[in-house]
Amino acid sequence: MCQDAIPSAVAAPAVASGMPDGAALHRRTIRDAVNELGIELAQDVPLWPPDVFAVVASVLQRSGTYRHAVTRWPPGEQEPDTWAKEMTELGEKWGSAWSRHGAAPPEVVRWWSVLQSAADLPVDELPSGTNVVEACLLLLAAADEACKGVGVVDDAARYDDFRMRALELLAGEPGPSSLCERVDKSRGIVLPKMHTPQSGLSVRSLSHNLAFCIPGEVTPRWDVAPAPLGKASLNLLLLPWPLEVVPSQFRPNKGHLSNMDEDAFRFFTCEAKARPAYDDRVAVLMTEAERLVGRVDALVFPELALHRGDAVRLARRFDKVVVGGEGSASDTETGDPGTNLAVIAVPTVNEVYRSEQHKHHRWRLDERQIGQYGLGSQLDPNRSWWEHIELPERQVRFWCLDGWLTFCVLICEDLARQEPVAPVVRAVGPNLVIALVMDGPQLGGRWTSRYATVLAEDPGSSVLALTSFGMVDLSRASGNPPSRVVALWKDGTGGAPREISLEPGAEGVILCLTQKDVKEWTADGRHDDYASGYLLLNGVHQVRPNGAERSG
Amino acid sequence: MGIDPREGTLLTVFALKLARGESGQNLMRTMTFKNEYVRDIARALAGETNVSEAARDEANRIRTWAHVPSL
Repeated sequence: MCQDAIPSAVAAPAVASGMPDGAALHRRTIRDAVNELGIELAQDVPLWPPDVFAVVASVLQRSGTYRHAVTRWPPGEQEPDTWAKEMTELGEKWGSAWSRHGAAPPEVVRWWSVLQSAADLPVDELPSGTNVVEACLLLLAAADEACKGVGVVDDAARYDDFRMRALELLAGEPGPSSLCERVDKSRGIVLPKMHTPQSGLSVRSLSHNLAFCIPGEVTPRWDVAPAPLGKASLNLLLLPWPLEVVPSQFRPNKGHLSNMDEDAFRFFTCEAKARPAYDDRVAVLMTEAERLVGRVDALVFPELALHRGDAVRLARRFDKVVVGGEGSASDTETGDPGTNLAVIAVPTVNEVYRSEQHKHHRWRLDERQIGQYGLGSQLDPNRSWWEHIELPERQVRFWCLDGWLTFCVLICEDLARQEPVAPVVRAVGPNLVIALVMDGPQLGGRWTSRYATVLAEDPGSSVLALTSFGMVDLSRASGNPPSRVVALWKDGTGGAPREISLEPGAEGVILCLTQKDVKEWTADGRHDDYASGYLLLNGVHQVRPNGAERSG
Repeated sequence: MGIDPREGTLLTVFALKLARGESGQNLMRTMTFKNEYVRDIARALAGETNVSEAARDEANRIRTWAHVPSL
């Protein structure tokens, strides 16, 4: 792959005047951008591909020059298929060079030297189409190809030293997971990636296997199940509980915000009703669900459906993955906030792996919603009511259960608010996003459907939103007839969102999800050979405690 | 309240390295498991027998997947 025909970037001053007193401002150069990641540009190219990926993704993202990949590509008049094949081979060579503790392939060294020679160029003025941009794009593609299959748990025979090192790095402490060795996690994060956007153009369009994230206030963690599911389908038992929610569960509460204008704003909390443990009810439904579809892989509960500790106990008792919202009401006497978090519990023999993720945004109830849920006896509709929950460190937990199944959970508002979690979710493109909500009917025209559609289109995640039947039943939105729609499914391959009802007499719904391998393309013309797993909904079954199933 | 999933990820790496012929004793020295149950699973994978039955069962499940030779 030669760059001879490509013009070299013209050296531009990295120092610009313009300050009133004539003082010069130092503009960010390529050297600065690379050094900011903790990599010394003057040194040899890092041998570990994710480090190089972080460097060039950062430069391309800051400069926007990745556009060149859809302007004039591939370089050197090569045939596109030949170029893509060469990049695949180069990626393999690079990976095996790392495993042998050898040297990076000569092409990688040469492209790195192009970057070194442009160290003083301002990043924001990198001319598109120069050899520097081309070198960045080539390094990005090669690093991406070297990292096929990193971060997922699948056939053990496919693991080599390279993939094992990737898993070790992802498990590293403290802070976020990252695949980088030399780029500190406070400067840049590289994560495994499941989907490449097939529309639009961003730096995410250029990689299949790696996602670059600028560290921010959301801490991404990557967890893998010890041994994969080993199945090509997933049966989820949705339990849209509680089946009854009443207005008296919502009550005003004092907080510790002395500067909050109480004429305009107040806090509310939602108290769970006293109830027996769910275990026996789950057991009954599980038996029926297994009679219907043979096996259940996971139980899913909505936001705040569970008490603290329920998810782990249920996962242990039933030996199933449990995804659910746990929480507690705020304290009336002390004014301390309550909690609202998503728990993912993955069982092993006799024990359970558990991750938790607190809700990022407080729910704000306004006059319209107070009317919709009939809460006027508890909450004054002339004020806005903020959910009184604590806001600890914001995390997003990605769980890989199999090579085709990496998922994350978002809690209600966190699906709707674009900041701060959406950029990380879009960068990774998990196969499945589960939104646990405390909301009215999950109708195709409502907000969950809109945001699910956004994620389904870019990056291509399938999205499941689940609320409780109690909230659906409580909801009487103006102009809408009573509804029983507790869940909404939107898959990443297109098609309309699908509403899922809880029929009379039923207490749960089984979703049968199947895997479909789809060929995805990067913007520079590389495909992934059908490595992208999409989840499709291929069965909906009502689960009644007394049997008598009807399929939907 | 459940085990930190990082431990599970490291256990996966431990099993894969064993399957590739690395010594269990060496791995027990170089890899640190904070959770006692996970440490027991690792010890069972490495061939130790004085571990709980649950840890042994889980080790067997992982051994099957990772193709760790039985000792």
